[in-house]
Amino acid sequence: MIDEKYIDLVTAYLQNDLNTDQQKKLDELIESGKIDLLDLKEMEIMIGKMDSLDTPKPSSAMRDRFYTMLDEEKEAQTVSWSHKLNGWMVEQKQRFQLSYLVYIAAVFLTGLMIGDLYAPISNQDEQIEQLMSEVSQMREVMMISLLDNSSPTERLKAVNISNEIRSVDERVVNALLKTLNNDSNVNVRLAAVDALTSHANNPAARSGLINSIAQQESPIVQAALADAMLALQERQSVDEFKKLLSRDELDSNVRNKLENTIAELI
Amino acid sequence: MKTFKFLFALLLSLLFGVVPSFAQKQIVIPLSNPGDPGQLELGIVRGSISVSGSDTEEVIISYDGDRSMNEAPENKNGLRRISNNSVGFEVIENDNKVEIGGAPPQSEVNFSITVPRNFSLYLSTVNGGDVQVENVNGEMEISNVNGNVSLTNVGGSATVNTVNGDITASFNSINRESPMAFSNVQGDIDITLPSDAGVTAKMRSEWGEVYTDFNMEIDRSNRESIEADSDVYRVSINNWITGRINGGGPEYMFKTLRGDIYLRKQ
Repeated sequence: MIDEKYIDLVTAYLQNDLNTDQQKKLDELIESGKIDLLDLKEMEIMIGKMDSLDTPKPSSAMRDRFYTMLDEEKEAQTVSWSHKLNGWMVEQKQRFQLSYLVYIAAVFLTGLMIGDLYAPISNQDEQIEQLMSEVSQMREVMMISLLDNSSPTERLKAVNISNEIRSVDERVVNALLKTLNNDSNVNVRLAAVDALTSHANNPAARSGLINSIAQQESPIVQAALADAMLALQERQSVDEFKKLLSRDELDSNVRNKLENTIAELI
Repeated sequence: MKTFKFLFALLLSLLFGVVPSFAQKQIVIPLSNPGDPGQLELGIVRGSISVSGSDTEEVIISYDGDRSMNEAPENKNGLRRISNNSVGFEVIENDNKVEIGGAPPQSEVNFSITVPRNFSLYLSTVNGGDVQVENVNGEMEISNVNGNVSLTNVGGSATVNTVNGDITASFNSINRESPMAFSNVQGDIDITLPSDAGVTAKMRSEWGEVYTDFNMEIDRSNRESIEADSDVYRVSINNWITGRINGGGPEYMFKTLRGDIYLRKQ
């Protein structure tokens, strides 16, 4: 028998595919007796025989059997445990993703609910409103206490603060009226006229302004009240102005102004 | 707290045979807390007031009484007149507060007072003179009826009003938080402020004009605006010129009926 390790050489020889190196090596091997020439020839003859052998055609029965087996195999494959496992895993994956989404949604909704508990969305405007009214109240308290300050500058500041209070209540109006009628400083009283005029929607402020007219001694305050009444178109003030006009000591400029004011109001 | 109380009754003509008709007298008032800010209160009916600040730790009051006001004869029917109703007043010092009072309204006194630089002044007169202040830093409340008010080189804040008289004030520093007010009926208002003063000027001259060399953002839009949102109803009447200087700040009111307003940059 020919040694396995020379099979490549032999195969190449049998197929007539030897190059010169291989031919040389084969010749050497034959000469040295490592490959039996007889064996080689025998193999050569056998290859020749094999070529001449008929290749048997597959019968139709064989073909049928093949396809039957294939079908059987296919059937076996579909129900195989590996397939099942695979399917299960895909299913799990989908289920996992779904629950993940549900989980996210749940956290989100919980957050929303907690958030809503602490800061109800619908109440935000209300809270801002509340905050603003608190600021307004603080201003009020500050203003009222400042109005009693001995410093005229502080009192002036207080009157100016009242212009920033959006809707004034009775306390503020009363404090301003007290200032208008009693403050020792003309400029503070003057500022109070303006402040009360800007809050004239308050009936107490309006009537307080009218009643103050005859009490004022300062010509500049009298003139400011005339401006205010004109702006408010307050006809009830006419009688009060007439009281002022009846005073002999009335400043001539103011007298002139009051006469014009009365003429415009009537 | 130590209290100094001075009572001066001046017997001008009788005690000394010949007295100059304008007797200049001086009183020195030591302060309870030398070096600390203090205040001076002085209200008279007839006479002028002049206050100047200097590097002193006491208040020096100079005054003269006008003897000519007393027209009663000094000798009558062989008797000499010992009554006096010319000059008399009282000075009280308490905790750096100096109060001059008790001057009879029929006598005319002209005060010239030296105070430490950091002093607040509350001065008023009605007839017969001007009020002048210079080199004082503090809160000033000054009123005059028939006379001018002038503040020169002052600091702090002021509220000044006159009826018939000019108001002139030059500030070399202002209190950044305090509002100020200047008003009169007849006479100009001439105010000089530091060039970097951040104030909101509210100005009105009824029969005069307003002048300034400040860069002012003038807001004339709200001549008459009625704001009616929900239940708040606000009327702002404005023939005022409102101008923001250097971005605005505390409100400075300038109001005159028959005078011009000058707002100058230092």
